[in-house]
Amino acid sequence: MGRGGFLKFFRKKKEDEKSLVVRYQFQLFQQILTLNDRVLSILAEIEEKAQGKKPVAVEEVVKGIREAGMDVFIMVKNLNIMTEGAHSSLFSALKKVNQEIERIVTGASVQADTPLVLKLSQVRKGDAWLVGGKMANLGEVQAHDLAPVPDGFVLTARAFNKFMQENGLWERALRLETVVEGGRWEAIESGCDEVMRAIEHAKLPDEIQKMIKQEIAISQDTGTWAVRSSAVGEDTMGVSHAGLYKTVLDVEAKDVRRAVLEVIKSAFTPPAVTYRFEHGLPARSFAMAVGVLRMIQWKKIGVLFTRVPERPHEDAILLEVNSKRPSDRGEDHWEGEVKDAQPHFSCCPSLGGEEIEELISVGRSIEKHFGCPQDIEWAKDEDGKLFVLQTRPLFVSHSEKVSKITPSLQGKIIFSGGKTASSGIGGGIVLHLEMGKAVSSEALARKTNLVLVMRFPTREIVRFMPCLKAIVAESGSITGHTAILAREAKCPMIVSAKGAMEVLKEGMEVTVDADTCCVYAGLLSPPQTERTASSESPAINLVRSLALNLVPLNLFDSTSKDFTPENAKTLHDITRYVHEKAFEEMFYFAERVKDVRGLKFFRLKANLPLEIKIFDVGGGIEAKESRKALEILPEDVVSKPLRPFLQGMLRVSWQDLRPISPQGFLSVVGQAIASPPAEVSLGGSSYAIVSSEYMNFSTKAGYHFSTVDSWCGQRTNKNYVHFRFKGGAADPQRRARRVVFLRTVLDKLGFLTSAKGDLLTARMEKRQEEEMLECLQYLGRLVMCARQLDMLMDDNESPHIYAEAFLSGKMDKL
Amino acid sequence: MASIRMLVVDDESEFLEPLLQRLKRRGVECTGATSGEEAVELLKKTDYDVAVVDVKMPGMNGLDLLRWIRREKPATAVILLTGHASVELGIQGMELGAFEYLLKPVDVDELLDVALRASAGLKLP
Repeated sequence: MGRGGFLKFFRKKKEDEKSLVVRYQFQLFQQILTLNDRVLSILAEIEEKAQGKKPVAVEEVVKGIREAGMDVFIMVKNLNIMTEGAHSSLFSALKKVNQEIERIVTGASVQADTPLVLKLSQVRKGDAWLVGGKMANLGEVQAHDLAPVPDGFVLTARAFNKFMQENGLWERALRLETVVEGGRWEAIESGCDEVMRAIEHAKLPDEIQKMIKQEIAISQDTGTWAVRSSAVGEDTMGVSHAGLYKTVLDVEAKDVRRAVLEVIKSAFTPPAVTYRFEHGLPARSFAMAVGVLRMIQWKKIGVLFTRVPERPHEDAILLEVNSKRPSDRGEDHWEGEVKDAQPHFSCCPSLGGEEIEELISVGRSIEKHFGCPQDIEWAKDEDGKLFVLQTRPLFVSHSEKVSKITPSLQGKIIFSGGKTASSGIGGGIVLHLEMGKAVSSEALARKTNLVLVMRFPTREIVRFMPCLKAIVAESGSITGHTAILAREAKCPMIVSAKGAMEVLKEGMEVTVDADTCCVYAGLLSPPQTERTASSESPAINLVRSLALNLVPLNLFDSTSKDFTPENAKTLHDITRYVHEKAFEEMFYFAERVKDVRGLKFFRLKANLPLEIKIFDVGGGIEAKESRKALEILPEDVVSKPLRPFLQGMLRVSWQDLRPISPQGFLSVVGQAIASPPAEVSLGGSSYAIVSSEYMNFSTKAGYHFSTVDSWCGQRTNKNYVHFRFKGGAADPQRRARRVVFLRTVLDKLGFLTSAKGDLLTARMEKRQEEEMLECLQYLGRLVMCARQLDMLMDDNESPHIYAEAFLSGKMDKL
Repeated sequence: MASIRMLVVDDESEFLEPLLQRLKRRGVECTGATSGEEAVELLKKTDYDVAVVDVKMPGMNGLDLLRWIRREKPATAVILLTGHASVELGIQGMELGAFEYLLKPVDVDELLDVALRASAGLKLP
């Protein structure tokens, strides 16, 4: 950027400005190093999360990715400022990656221009993403005449989004995910509480209120309404959300609005939020659609499983008639005692044979249509007409084995009885779960394996999922919501285990065999399998597809011709490219800065055969008021890398270097070795740019050119030493031998080296500070020793002899 | 500190006024504008070494102003300032020729360093 018009200003501020240019360059570089370190650690974290070993909080990941994106932008920007735009095509590479990331992130939430309200008759199975699984399934049943269903309409996922957005609820709701990941019981309670309270005070958008009124008016129904949850992702295989959300029955037209808020609120109870997290449903793609259906004036009501969960291959159904409302299956926090289900359809006293036949026939046709066993809620009205209120996939055991053949455990049986609600064996410490009893966080924090024992099954179990090994409930049924949740979680569960609370005392170690309905004392083999996040988890799939744009490294070989911005496909690539190019840019930093006229360099006063000039960009040289002019002593150097480097240089006995053979001398034209005045007079000044943790040291003596560029501090991942050595006065053979000498030593010190002719490069990265300091000291010695060694390299043996001498300290001062 | 002519453009006067004050206290010759349009009028009349421009402004926004300056007053270096970290906007700004893209809140001394560096136009050899 030409600023020709401001020369006046220049002259005045020349000194300041020039040093500012140098300082600024360094600051840009320093920031690149810091950001590189940070980006790489974010990428490592995301990579780990993408492995799916644990459920993930997507919001947290998205936040991390956005931060990393911004960091990478700053890196690209800095590199371009440093190099006057030499790498500007990196901006387009970053733009592409960033657009792809944003596409994935925003693709996970419902887009605008979808309807807010739909009639149930308009809804099909494929609309589950908009109206939720429950209403989609019901619409499908109606559309295909599989069974009569109540009439009604659905407030869609977009209506939910609009509600959340207009009331400013999203941010709080999304944060819950992170709170759950943190796992602190009270934090989850209070976080959920906060969201639920906010919903109570929120307002359903006017547009939606108007639509509700319209739909109700159209129906011309004077009866009451059932307001049902229909969460997106609910009622799909293996993720039933059974009983987690609210259904409000017998709602008068004027109260529908309030009931809708009630249902939405139920999406943010601790069990509901925990359940979604554990099943890997990302908070940002969650939506609660709400079905508003006409209330059936029922006479009989019940549940029908089209298969028996633990024996799916048999032609049997599970039929339950209930004197209570269907909502009792899950509406209340604590399930009531539900009448036992009847295996097969033999004895349902309250149902006639024809009625049972009808139910079986409806059940089988729904099952056939949806292609998998179904969990159906049904009702018969006063005229005996059958309605399907809900149908969802039934989670059944897929194992071929019959539960009875599980090996019987060797041990003392302390309890037996009840029914298998979910098969398997699991052991842990007994924790009683009682209504109204607070669970101490301490008990949870231990994160030990738990066996929950309770009087009534409760959805609260989902909050213990990570450490839950078995459940024993004194009441409950196989068709109950808790049993459904337990089967999904592959958690062994016994129901109707009367008297279990008495026998299984809190704190006891027990093993539950749910197949034989026996509880043993102590922890018995077989070992329990570790619970992992579902591999089909949408959250993890989302993180995986994001990770693909972040983590893979395509630009690994910086010497390849393919190492270009055009080939940078991921954030990792771009980061790597910037990092590498920034090093390149900085490598000759001191060499370039030495030619900037008017800069004030410190001169090092030390007993060395070379002059060293130092420019401090911040904290590299101790500030001393008393200092005479710009002269400093080695002890004034506080730069972490330069200090040991100088110490190394000072240790070398440069006056005593002796040739191995007299011929060695002859190859250097007229130059005596190690003669300080000669070196200095040859213009052999060395330049260093330092900060508290940085050093760029360049020596251009008459015969060779060496550079050391290094960062050394507490952040191990930021630390590096790069070294380059080239040239010499002797013949090519001798110079090459010197390279062999250097390489032998550097390899021994743990550097990665490469050599080409008389050019040697060596790198060491990510070492701890102490190790760095040691290496830098060696390097100081080495640079000093190597200065004249080319003259001494008489034969192919000499490099190794000198390397040996160097490493054993024989070249040091006594 | 240095004699540098600076134009600061930001629609939020709660941000603009204190920044101008701090800059003046450091001896910087600076003028404020609360919109892109106002900035254009000032730039037509006066030469500035550096323009510090907020990205998000109603009417003529920061990027529009940047485009105008690059075209009409290329000697004025532009430093973009933004309260919302956006990779997309950042890239656009840099591609349009901004000297720097800084995130609010910005340290005044840091801003001044950047401004001096931008106006210096010096290169390392």
